[in-house]
Amino acid sequence: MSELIQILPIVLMAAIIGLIIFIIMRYGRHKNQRMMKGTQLNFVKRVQIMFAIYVSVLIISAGVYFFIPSEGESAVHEQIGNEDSRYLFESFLEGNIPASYDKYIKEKKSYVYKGEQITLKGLPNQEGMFDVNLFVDDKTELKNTIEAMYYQTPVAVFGRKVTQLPIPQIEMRSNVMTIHNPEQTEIDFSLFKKEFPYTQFTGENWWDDHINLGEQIILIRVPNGLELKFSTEMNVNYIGEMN
Amino acid sequence: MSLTTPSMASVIRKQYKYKLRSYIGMFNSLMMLQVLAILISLGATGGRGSSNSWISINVDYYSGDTVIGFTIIWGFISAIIITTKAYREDDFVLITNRLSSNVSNMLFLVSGSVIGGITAILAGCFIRVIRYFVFDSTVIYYGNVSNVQEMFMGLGATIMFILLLSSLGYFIGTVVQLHKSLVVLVPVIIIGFLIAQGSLSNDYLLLDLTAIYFQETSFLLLLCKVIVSAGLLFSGSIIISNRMEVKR
Repeated sequence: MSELIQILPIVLMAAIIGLIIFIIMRYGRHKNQRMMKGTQLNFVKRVQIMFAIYVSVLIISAGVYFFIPSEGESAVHEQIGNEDSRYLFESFLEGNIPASYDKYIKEKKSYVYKGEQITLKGLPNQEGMFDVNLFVDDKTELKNTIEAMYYQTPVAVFGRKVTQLPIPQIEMRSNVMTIHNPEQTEIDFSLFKKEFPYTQFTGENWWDDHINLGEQIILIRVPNGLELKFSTEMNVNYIGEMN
Repeated sequence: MSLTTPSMASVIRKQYKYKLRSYIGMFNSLMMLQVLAILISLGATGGRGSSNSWISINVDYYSGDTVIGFTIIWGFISAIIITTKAYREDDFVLITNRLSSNVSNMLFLVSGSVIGGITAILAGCFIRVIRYFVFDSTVIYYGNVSNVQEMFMGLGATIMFILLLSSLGYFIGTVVQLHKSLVVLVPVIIIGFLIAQGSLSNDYLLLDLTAIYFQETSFLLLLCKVIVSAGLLFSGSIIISNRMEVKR
């Protein structure tokens, strides 16, 4: 099977070259002018007219081309800076959450509870997936209140920020906090890359650009001493647990 | 009987003009191939995706690379075809000798490369325009050419690549005309050598050879490399062609 896959590009290339040869022989056919003078002249005239129409269409499209914006719109915005590519997960493990990370908070909610115990439960999405990074900060001065914060670092496609992103739902009933893994959001983009004779000189290495899905972290801040229970699917980390 | 001897330049000029009309079918096939390549390019020529349980991102790539690739192969095959007997016999419609025939063929190939290069680059614009106005998809980047200098460099490079492959095709076509058995032997020797060389060594000669031109980052150097290479291949074709005449 792997050998078949290896020779597939060669077969494909041979098929393309075969097709090109066929088209050249079929449409580029050579007629002897001495033998078929009348037909040949008609053929020349016809090709000249068709080629002129073809070139005219191309020239008009080149004129229109310069009015097409080089950047797309709607779902993507400004290019992200280097400071946005840091890793939140490691910082949280180290217990280092600078104020600058506040800009990544996409949602913040507070819940009042009664009692000494809270259960945290994870609800998978329709595909049965639950991969929420959950951090707990249990050394706070809060009283009878739980705070839930959702951090989302920029999602970038070829250095451009994606904005239409899902947000996990968090609800609390009878001292049970449920975190819903969002349904998978599918986002499709198109990218026009410059032709290789251009990128050869400009050094644009478009292939090295990548898709960055960012980081999604839910931070639950609870009062010091509150007893927490977790359902089995939860992957729980504590702030500063690496120290 | 005329007592005036036409100059070589005027003979070449007449033959070149004649060939532009006589070989018009070549431009017909160029147009057909480019239209086919445009249709292929309107679908994505590549893609990339990444996902987790929250987000799935797919990016489809579009470009005019296929049109340029097809045009380069067109240049190569057309150059071989004009060395065949049917095309060579057409030369005898006018006063001719081997040198004038070869030079007018080369001028035709240079013209073909320029026309092929210009239309291939313009086809890239056409693909963008059609995708922009006809197809509904979120485009993140159009990769438009930012200035005239960049456009001319891209255009020049495209013409150079077509010319390079045309000169190679013309050389191979001329070699093949030496003897009928070479029609089979030449491709077998070239492909066999490349396969053998690739399996015996970690370096691939074909990749190294193409890198000389296709990875050159200086436009002027590329220009020099192609002009020298094409010049050598065309000169080689003339020398071989003259030997052929002596043999016959």
